[in-house]
Amino acid sequence: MNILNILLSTTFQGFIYSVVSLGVYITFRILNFADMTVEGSLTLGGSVCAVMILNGINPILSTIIAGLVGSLAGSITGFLNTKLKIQAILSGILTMISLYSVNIRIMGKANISLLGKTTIFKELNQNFIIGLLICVFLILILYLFFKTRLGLAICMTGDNEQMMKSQGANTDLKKIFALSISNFFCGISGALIAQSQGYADVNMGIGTLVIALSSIVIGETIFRKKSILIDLIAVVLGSIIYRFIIYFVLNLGMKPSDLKLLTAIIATFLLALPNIGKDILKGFKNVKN
Amino acid sequence: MLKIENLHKNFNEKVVFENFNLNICKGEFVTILGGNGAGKSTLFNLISGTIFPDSGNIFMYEKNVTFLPEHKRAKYVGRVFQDPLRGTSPNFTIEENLVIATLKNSKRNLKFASNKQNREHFKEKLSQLEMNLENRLNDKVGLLSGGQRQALTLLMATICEPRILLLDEHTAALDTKSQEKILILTEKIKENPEITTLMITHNKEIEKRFGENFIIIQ
Repeated sequence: MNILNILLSTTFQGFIYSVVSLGVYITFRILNFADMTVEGSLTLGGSVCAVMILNGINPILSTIIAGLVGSLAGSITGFLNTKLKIQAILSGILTMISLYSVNIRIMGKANISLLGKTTIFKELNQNFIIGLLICVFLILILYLFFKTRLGLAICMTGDNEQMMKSQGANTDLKKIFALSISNFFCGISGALIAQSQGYADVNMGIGTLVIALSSIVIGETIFRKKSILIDLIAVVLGSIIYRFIIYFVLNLGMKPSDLKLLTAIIATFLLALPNIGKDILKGFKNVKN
Repeated sequence: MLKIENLHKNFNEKVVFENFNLNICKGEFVTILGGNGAGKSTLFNLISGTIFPDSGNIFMYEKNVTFLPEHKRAKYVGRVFQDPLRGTSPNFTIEENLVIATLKNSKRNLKFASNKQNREHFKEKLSQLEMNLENRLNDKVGLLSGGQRQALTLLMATICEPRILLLDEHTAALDTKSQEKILILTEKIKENPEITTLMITHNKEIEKRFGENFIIIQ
């Protein structure tokens, strides 16, 4: 593999995983909702898409349907949280766990292969362009959406829910809606991942949340929060940088099974940095003095 | 226009309201007095729909709103809390906060949130606050002082002319200078014959300044 191929394929990985990061950005950063559904809805998207492609359905249509099914999962979490008053994190876990069974039902077994089937991905150069276009398109759509009245209302529900209630907004519906958009992205991402790796697996979603969070935090560390557009672009760049980190670490001889530990360590470090960074700096100064 | 009939509300064993009746006419300004824990804020919560009574009825303009959820009632009810942080969204601009407040009576759909026309309208409204906020439309609300935020909250609560305005000790957390500004704004609202206002206060001076109609809750 030459350098260019490595660059292209790693960036491509970054593109398709950034879709789920964009979804997680909506819940974690905009809505202030710790949504665990992600890990289930990503796999759901992957398995629905794989089964549809195996049945001869157009891969683009399959990907979109995978997104829609993902958004259904998100709205279930929203329903559990807002209408049944179950804690945010628990609502997500409940949906995620039930999706494990659902996904095996959908696929009929724990994993299915897409070998020899037509998917939206073909050869590397083309894939790279497709991944780039998908990201640009999704960022634009999200950006425009958050400029609308509904989008603004969703953002503010995350910022000050009490205020939105007294301004006459049905904040429950806003939350359910935001969760379904977020998981739409997760479903799409799952479909893209399944197509790029050539199979769907019931465990493909495990760890996604931490990966997505790491990407978001990497993006935020590099690009200080300015506007929502910059934020969205930063999420995608963060996701690409994350893939490069993983690539180098694997080349250093780490086992793929160690990646989850590594990801968690990176995420912990980056999440803690803004909080303890100042204290550490102070500590250094004290030592000097 | 606001009528409360035979209202009962208990919290566990504690009876807060028993056979409570109230009748307020359109445009009146009523000051509500009473010690801590007497149920003043509970009354506001019942009127705005944050909590529902155990029995009894609440009418606004002959319409029974007793069990209407908070967000549906918000069209009629504006509310300002003691804490200036509660009524505004800190990570969004003054303009965006005002946009949300003007959408009380219209749908939050996929139209673009801000436009030139309402920007001019906001500037005009903000200049009435005399806090120089009209030139800071794009500043985040989190950057404003407590007094400025409370003035903005008051503007947001009245920009769509609510039928009832609930002021819950809305100057208690402010310094004397900001307090005076907010009180002047409150006096302007008092003169508006379309808005019926209920104000909770513990402050004797404010009580004297606004008091014509009192309700004492014990």
